[in-house]
Amino acid sequence: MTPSKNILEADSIVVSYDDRIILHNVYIRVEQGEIVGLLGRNGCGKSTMLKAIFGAVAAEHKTVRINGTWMKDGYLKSRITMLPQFDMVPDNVRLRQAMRLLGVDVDLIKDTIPNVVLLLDHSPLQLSGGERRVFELLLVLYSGSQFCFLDEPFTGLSPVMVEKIIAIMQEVKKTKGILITDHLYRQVTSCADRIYSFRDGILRETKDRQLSSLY
Amino acid sequence: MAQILFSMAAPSMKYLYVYRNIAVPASLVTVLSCFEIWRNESLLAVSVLSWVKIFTTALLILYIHLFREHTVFFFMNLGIGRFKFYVSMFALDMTIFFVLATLILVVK
Repeated sequence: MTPSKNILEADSIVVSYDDRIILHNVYIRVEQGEIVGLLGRNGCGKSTMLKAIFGAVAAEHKTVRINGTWMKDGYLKSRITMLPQFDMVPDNVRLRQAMRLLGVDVDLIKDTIPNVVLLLDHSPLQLSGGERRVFELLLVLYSGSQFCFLDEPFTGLSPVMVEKIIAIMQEVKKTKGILITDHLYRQVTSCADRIYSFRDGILRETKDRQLSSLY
Repeated sequence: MAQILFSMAAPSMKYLYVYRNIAVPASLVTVLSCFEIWRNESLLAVSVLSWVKIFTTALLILYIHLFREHTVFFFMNLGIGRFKFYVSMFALDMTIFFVLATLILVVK
């Protein structure tokens, strides 16, 4: 008997700021074993959508279901972990503590960032900007959640590191579903199994991976 | 045995990390307030200092909300939502203050 996949479905998401509607009846589905790419122009609501499903932004209406079970917010019971656009780990939490809190083993991280072994008892401030980004990205990917949301994870990373991270994501997706949004659209389209594109406030799944049809 | 105890305590340990966001300035206010209660153990002093403590803690939480809001994401990844994040910070700080103030009054 094959184990069933975890499935995240979010629908009827409505978010507006003042009188401006950002998301209107959006539906998205992410399954364990796949990387789902989310593309769109600046300010079209990609990050807002991730935050609304995760629970960091209040939505006027939303329905989030994991394996058919309704959830108020995605972060509850750590079912979803999210990497925001900015630095996430507080400066007063040491690297070792951050890993322990999220249940991540140091061996998983040291291959990608060898520096981490030397700085386990230091603040994330001791890492360079790129190293910190990778560290936080790996924390989110290797945590015990069922789904990972990555908001612009490649910001500040070298091309070599981006390739490494994509390889890690391909490995991690065997046990969880990954939803990623980034402006490096070539990297996103190359690693994603499915692509959603935001256009005129409407989110639609697309098989066409040409730049003109994605933005 | 120690491992079992650690795994039982681990979920509540997360809240100590939440409190660390305001621990240094909040502890300073607590120590100064308790020192004043020690020097001047009237009911009026306790009442006034309690309000000072409530006000300063609320200010510290407002500072975190306005300028350190990004740290909330880390705690949301641990399953602690925005409301729990702020309420647990406030509750823990007030508990420490009132326990210390009560101890001072009992000892003195």
